[in-house]
Amino acid sequence: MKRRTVLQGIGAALAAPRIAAAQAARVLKFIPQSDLTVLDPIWTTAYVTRNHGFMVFDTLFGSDGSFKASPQMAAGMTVESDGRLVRITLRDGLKWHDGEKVLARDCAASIKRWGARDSFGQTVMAVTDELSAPDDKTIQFRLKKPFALLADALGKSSSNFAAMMPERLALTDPFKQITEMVGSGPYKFKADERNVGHLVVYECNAAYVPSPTGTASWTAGPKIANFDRVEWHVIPDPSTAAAALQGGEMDWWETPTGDLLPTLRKAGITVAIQDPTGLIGCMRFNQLQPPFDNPAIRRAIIGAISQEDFNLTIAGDDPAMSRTGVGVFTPGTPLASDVGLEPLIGKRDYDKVKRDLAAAGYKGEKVVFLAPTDLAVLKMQGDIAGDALKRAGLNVEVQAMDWGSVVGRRTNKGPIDKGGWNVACTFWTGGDHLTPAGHTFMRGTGEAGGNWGWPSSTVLEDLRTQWFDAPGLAAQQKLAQAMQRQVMQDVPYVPLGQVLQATAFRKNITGVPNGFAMFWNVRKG
Amino acid sequence: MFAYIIRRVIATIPVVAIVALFIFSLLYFAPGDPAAIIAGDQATPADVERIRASLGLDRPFVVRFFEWSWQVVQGNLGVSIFTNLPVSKMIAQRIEPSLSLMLLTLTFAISVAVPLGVLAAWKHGTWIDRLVMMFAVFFFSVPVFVVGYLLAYTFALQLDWFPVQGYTPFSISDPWPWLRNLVLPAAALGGAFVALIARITRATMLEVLSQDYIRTARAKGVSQRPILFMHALKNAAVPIVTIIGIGFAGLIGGAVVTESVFAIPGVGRLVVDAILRRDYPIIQGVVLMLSFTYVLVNLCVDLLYTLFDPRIRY
Amino acid sequence: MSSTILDPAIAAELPDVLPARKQRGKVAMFAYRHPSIFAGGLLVSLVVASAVFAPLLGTVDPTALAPAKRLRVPSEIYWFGTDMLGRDIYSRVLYGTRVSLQVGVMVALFASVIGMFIGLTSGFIRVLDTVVMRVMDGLMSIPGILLAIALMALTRGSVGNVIIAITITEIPRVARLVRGVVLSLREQPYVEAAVAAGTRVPKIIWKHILPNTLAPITVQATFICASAMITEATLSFIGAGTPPTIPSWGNIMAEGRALWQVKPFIVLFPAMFLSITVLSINLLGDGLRDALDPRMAKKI
Repeated sequence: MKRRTVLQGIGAALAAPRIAAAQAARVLKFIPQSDLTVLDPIWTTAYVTRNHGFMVFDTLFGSDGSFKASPQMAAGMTVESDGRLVRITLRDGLKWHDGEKVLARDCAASIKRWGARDSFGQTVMAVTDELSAPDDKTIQFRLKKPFALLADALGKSSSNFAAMMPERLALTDPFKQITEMVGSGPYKFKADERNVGHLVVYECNAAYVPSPTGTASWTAGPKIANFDRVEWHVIPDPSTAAAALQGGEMDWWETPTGDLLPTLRKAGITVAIQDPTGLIGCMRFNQLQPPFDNPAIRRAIIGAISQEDFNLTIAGDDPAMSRTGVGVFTPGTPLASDVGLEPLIGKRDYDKVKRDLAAAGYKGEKVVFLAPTDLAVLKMQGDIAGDALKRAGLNVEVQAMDWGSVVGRRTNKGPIDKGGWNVACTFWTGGDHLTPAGHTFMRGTGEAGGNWGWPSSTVLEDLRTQWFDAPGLAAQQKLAQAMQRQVMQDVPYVPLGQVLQATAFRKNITGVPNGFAMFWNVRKG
Repeated sequence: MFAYIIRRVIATIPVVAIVALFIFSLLYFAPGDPAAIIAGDQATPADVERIRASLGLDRPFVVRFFEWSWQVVQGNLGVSIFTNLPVSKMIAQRIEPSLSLMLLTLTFAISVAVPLGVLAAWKHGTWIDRLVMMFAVFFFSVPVFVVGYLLAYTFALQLDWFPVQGYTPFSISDPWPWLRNLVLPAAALGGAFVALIARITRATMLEVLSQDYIRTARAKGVSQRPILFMHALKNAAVPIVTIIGIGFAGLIGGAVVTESVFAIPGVGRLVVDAILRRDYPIIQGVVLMLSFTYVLVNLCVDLLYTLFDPRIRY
Repeated sequence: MSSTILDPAIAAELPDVLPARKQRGKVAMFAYRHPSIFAGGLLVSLVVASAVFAPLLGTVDPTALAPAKRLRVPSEIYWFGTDMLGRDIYSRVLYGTRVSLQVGVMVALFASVIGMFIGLTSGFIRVLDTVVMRVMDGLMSIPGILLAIALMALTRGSVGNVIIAITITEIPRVARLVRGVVLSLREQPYVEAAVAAGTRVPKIIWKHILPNTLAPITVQATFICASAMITEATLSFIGAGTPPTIPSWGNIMAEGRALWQVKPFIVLFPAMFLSITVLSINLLGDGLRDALDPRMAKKI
């Protein structure tokens, strides 16, 4: 009797962890790149909000590993009247998280809200005469001229992506944040468990019907949610995050620091590069103010940029984690080439840079460089960039400030004694530099364009317009090469190399999708 | 006594009002534009301008201050610029971890420091005394984040005794996970307080031990231990309570750093994040709440005096 | 009133902090009588010397980047190793001493002078007392580090602004101390006599109040210096302190923080220097307090 009770007790004790383990397999604990402060993926371009957005909201089209659009919420698309009438039909069985049916007019309103904020979206709206929902299943575009990239625009996976939401939310002023998270994506947002700066919780959307067609890749194909709960734990300190991952307190760390990767690997953590497009560093000049209103001076600076220095510092010593020889388009993608990149490649000769600067008419004017202090990767980029400018012989004043202030200061067009600036750096994701469509830094729209740095180049703008109408890849590539040559002439910005962002997860996590952090098709145990 | 309490409570009002005005004007004149941060890296200046207007950040100082004060008086601390959530709700979410950390730290500090201080006073002038005092000066001099990392490295990473980070809410049925998460942070934060309280205890004990009544007790043949613990310690309570009152601000300051090292979702991390993002309503709300708490704690400390020391009367 | 406080010899005792070299016997005697002052003073002078003579102590440019030589462990070439940008940590730590000392000393000086002024005003001009003390209470009720971070958010990071921000948080302590001394001294018969005799306030301050506040303020200033150094490091560590372009101990630690697990030396060396410096200043302060004001020593 007694012995049996004891044995039963032991049995129960042994079973308990197993039950706990089974429950744990349904919960994913994830450390995001940063705190999720803003929930509205149309209101901000922050990538962490984009990642959150893709859990909650679905898109009409998805884009796969080769950056081609394929239907996601859409069942199909028809093009009539020489490309001037586009109809998109919705797939059956789509429901919002509040239980309502997804209707075409919801989507039309969502597209309008997105089109007011996103640059690709603005291009779409500029060629659109009328966007309507003739019935519950059909979204209809009347276009001014054929627009071959409509599906690519609606399926764009970088910020801001065209998130579909119910009409009542989509009618919100695009400049006001929506905080009620009702989408139709594979996970639901748990508003009651949100603890800003610490915890974000999602639960499985049981009513989600995965796309019946396509293969799962990036945001395309069927999205299957394998977890009851996904918890985002915000851990700002990289050392602490690494330790939490090693200790099994967390399952997946989105953006581990480059220098910690060897330690993580040694501890049996999987380190993978899920997004081959990575991050592309960019140095931007204020072209409204001297000395960088002079293109010859900008060209001379190219000689002082060592992409290798940036890569080493930011990505660490592992050569697999970064690429040099980076031009206007993301390396390894169809439009990338090394045409015209000679000044960026090879040994850096600072004496030559100084001679070039003098020849271009630089007379030792003070140059204000905005250096962010609070985000590790941006800070290192700033440190290297500031050093390069000094070595080029510029009279640099490094102004260190928090990232928010940098972002604010950058919009100041005035001279430096009135709070202006001359040079600043940032990153774009490789996804933004795939094509001219989303490539903001290549634009030459000048002061009116509202694009900080305010470069003007009619040649670049012409080439971009031509590209939208280019008949096929070969023609696009030719135009892309011409653009790259022109960028090296006009120097609207200088590419600072490409760093790949690894992601780290425990060995029992499988099926992590390629691309940014997405939570469908992932499994644990 | 009652009149005294009323008087003291009324006296706190100008202090809190001064803090409110101070912190509001401070942040009003601060550079760094929340609108630009919200709009994100890739927004145009026109977008930023529209967001600024929609947040009401373009209105004059006086209007904004009185509007804010009026709301605060009504118990409304406003809405976070970034998250659109009520500040009072965001603070409420964070109180439990911070309170747990502080209470545990104080418990730990007092339970270690008082015996140490008594020991040092008892063995006054010996090497034990010197060792305790050296230890106290040392812990007073090492920044809390250094202690924190050292503890985390040793006891979490190397020995794997405690988790490295995080917080588990307290539950009566199983407080162990809660405690496990807080042991290292409380130890890190407690170091300086152990030092402080040990020194105070020692000093007070020395003074009390030289008093006449203790000498009388000794002369009457009462043994050492009862003297120390019955008579002396009772008198030492007053300065210890005082130091808790004074040290409360330091405790909050230390908690800010500790919470960030150990990823504890407390009020301190909330306000540091808010400051770095320029989320004005949160900064104002938290600082106001903390200084109000500080004032209240010190009020309680004053009242506790009468409890511990019947000689003090109001 | 204990005679030590009024003893004019106090002022003369201060210079003894730096051990006199001429008479060995006296040094040994001094070290025996005031071990804290001796040990603390010795360590402080070592730290000061390393700051002053940093360029002569085998350092290189502390801001020179060398991405190719990043994250080297301590060795004969790089005594304390290199950081993630390839900068020499030994040089950075030594130059960082300058920043810490500068912040500590300046804050102690400004806070003492301004705090003394406020305390004297408040103690003598009773009309202002209530208002001034409420403002001081208000300032004191905001946790120092929070106040300093908020102040730093106001301005662009610079060593000067760090000094101002920390000074503001430290002023109330001095002001209260001085006010307390003034109030207690005003009750003293000889001060009352002086007032009755029609002595003007500045003269009373100069002859009676100042000499008596000097000792406690000196002690207090030492502790403020130590705590200012910790605050500076903490501010920089959080990312709201000295601009990262300037090597300060807090900045070095903040940068090394991400790699604490794998390259602990980046954080350990500046942490060690900071701790030892603060420790020695605190020792000095303890010793001074014991020597200058035995009554106060008992109280705290």
